[in-house]
Amino acid sequence: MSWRDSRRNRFKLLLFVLSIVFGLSALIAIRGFRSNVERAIHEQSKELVGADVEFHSRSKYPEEVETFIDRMEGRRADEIRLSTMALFESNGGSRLVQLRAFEEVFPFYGTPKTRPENLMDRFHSGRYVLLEESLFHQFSVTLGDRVKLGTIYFEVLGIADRIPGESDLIGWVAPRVYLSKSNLEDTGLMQFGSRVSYRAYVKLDDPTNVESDLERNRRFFRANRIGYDTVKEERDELIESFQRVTDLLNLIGFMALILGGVGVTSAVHVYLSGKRETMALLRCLGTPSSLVVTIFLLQISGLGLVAALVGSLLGNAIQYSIPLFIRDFLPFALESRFSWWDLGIGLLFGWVVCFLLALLPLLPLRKISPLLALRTDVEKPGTMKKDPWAYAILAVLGLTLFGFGFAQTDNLKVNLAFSGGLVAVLAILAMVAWLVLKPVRKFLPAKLPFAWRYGIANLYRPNNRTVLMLVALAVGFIIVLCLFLTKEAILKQLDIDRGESASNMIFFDIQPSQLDGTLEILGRNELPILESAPIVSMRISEFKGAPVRSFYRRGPRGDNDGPQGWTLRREYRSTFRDHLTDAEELVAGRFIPQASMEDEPIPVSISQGLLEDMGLELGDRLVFDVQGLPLETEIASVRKVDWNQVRANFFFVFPEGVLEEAPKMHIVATRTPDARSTAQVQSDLIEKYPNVSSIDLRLIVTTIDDLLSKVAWVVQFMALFTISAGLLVMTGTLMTSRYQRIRESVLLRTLGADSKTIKRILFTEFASLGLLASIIGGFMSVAATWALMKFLIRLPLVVAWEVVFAGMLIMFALTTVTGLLNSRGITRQAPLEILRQQ
Amino acid sequence: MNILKVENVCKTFATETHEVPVLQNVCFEIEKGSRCSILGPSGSGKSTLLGLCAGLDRPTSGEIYLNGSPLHAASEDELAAIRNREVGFVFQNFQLIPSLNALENVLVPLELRGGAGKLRKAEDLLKRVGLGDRLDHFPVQLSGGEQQRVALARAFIHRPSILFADEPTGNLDSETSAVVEPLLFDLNREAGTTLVVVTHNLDLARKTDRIFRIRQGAVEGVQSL
Repeated sequence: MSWRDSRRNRFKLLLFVLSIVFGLSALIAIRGFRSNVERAIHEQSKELVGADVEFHSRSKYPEEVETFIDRMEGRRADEIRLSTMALFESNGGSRLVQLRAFEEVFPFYGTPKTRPENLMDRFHSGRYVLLEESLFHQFSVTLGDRVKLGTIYFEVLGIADRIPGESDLIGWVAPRVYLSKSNLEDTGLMQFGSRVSYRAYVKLDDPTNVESDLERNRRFFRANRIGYDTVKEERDELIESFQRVTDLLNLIGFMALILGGVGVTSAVHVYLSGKRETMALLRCLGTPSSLVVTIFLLQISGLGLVAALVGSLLGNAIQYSIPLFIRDFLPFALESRFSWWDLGIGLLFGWVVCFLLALLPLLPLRKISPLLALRTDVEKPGTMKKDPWAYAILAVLGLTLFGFGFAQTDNLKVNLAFSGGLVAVLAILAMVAWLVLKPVRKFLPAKLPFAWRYGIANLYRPNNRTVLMLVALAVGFIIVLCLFLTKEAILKQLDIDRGESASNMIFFDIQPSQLDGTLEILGRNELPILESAPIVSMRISEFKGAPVRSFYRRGPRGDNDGPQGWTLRREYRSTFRDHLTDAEELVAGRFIPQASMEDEPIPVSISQGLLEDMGLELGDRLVFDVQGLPLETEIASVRKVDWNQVRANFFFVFPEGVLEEAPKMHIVATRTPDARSTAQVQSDLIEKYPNVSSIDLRLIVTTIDDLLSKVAWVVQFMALFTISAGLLVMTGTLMTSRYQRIRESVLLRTLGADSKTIKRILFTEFASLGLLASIIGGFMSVAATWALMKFLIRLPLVVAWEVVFAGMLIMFALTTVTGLLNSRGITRQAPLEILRQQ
Repeated sequence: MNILKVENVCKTFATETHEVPVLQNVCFEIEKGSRCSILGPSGSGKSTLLGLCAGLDRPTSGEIYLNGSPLHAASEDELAAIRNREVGFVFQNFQLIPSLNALENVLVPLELRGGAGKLRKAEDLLKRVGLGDRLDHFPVQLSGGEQQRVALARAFIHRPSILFADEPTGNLDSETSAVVEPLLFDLNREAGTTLVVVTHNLDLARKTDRIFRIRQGAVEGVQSL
């Protein structure tokens, strides 16, 4: 009977129930992707590091560290990393690159992935380099071309796709160039001022206790400014970072699922409303209420099973496509495997959710009175507001969702924050939708044409579920637009065309003897000197009278009430000058322009952020180790620094007259009008001073734009599921109210409305819905981007309004078209037939 | 002078397998300002006839003239214009628009004409039917009798030449019918509108000037009262 009863509405019901397919398939896909990633990381964790343990330092290892490493039982391979300019013979272009010079024995685990394959033997046999792929495209490099590093030319052997020891697949600011360590000395790049870092990879004979051995010596390494990574640490970090990504994707998937779920409940409610008389009649004929409910429950759960099956199969299929989109971000090979377990979980979860969602609107019908069959207008069906079963079902539903969320995230805290955030986001959206909707009707101008007023009034039609449609439509839109806006906001921070006075090219590592020559080359190329500053490297040796080493014993990575660890460990590149720049503002103390060595403690100026991180106050003292020379200083002033300005900004500024004789380097900033003059000046400089590096901000912007676009694409791909769920909820809702719409249009035609008026009314209704959804979506996405920029990315928000308006326009068009497509044929219904129906 | 002229009208509904004749060679005329009723049992074709006379459907053959306009030959939009200009409706199931309040529902026929600023007239009409205090109530907030009174006000707001009422009290209890029925006739008298009532209720039919008895799709007889 259940099957027979459903025959007229089977397709429509199936469509409603399919609302949850998008959310379900997204979650299943993410689940599969996550387990594939975790399995790949576990299987390939040694290859990721290339050794059992890796040590790194910004300076040569002190003797005791060398001894410690050598005492470890195993084999050792060294690597040197430094940033320098590379000159590409292919087109004469040059760019700042990261050199990686490693010994032949490395990697101990895994094989470098190159194109062509198996290049490593030849790589170490001569002057060859492997390049990151982006350099091939940027400088039109072909295999066999030459690249000049320092004073030496190298032949390009191939593309380095994946080298063990690299957790990022691309160099963020500077692409990577690999060469054999035996060739590094000849380049002449290892000189004073070069920013070199050292790595030692060790393959242990017995790596079982490596973590505990290193942990025991953590203070020793910290005191010597040596960092280390083990396979386990690398693996855990990688898993954690991927978990963050999948958590975000899960959140989006859950949104799609919940939206779809609300759509299902709503649609089943409307479907069952139309079945009340049938139910009452069945009861009149002596059917017990439990059987009546069972008949409809069987219908809904049968369709729920279909939806769960479609969702699970689709999700499993999608997980195979995810690696294609994010291949560029994975430092390991990812293989998707079909999992019967995941399919089963998806099927069970999808069906349970669908069943529970459908059960809610069924509850009041178990109390339906047989009298309703006789007196439709008098007998009102019950509601579920006071029904304890409704609360019990809601609780089970909440627990099911929470349980599945926990299974997806493996973390109770994340899942709690996640569930709370999800409910809060949807509640806020529903509230905003309600708040926007309320005044529209109240303040609707009476002078508007009839079709407009009537179309807008339709948004308030009983059972129209406008708030649900607005929320469903806005959620996906907000996610997509928020990502676009965040990307644009970040890029706008890097906008190199902010003004004629803003620099877009910075030269650094200039030796004092090279400064005049560098300035002369800039002058010859008719480029302005926008900034020139000396840089002196130094470290803090005493903090408020206590040796810095004493702070290392106070606990891991800094205390809350003391200076943060990094502030004491890092090397500071400070400058000296007698003035503040336009990126600086004095917020406390007095800026001292001049001093001399006799004035110890030397009055220095500190940036506001660092002052807070170090817990310092005006008058506090620090002793700097300026390349062997201790220099006592006193905090004389505090500067607020605009770090977003692309220029040389400093934590500490010394007065003139103190550091002039210290070993120093220079930095020079200029502005080039176009890419051609950038290439020319880089080429002139690298020819004369190979050690001088430069950063072309245009290239960085392009790289970051490309990277952000790829990241955004992945999230937007998942957000498409939310948008699709939203449109499906809208379609389902419109289908449930389609009969009402037909009736109204027929009635209006009976009263004299022509077909144009009817079409205008329908257009106005859907256009208003689209407009409201896009206003809510636009407003909320700007708000979400603001929150993201302020609290997470910590950059000021520059809203790309053109993106907001374009997004709103697309949203508006999409909603209007979907609405109109769902209303096709409404004006063609025969009036008499409809009017005679109850 | 006749306001409605029906000549040899036939109406057939086609199913997948065969054709069902509903009306056969129906002929009659109705004078302007008169009150008449179409009486017949369920399935006799009276509502179909009303739909044809009101321009809601087209005859399979025959001709229908409403105030001189040939309904049988008019396009859908021309029919809509004629209905808006000449016709008022009262339905058995009220047929109010749920998203509009009582006042807005009454105003619809005028607004479709492009006429604005008739608020006062609509308010007066609603007061006349006893709903002066329910102007901003939505259909769901009104009882069946109240909804039908709103429908009456809507039917008369644009002063139609002819009013078709299809079982106007069919969904109301006797107590409510006792209020709505006289209201229909009073409003009709005040407006001087031609009234055509379709009913199977002989008592209601007897309150009109003429009764067209219809059986099995044909006019069986005409009774003047």
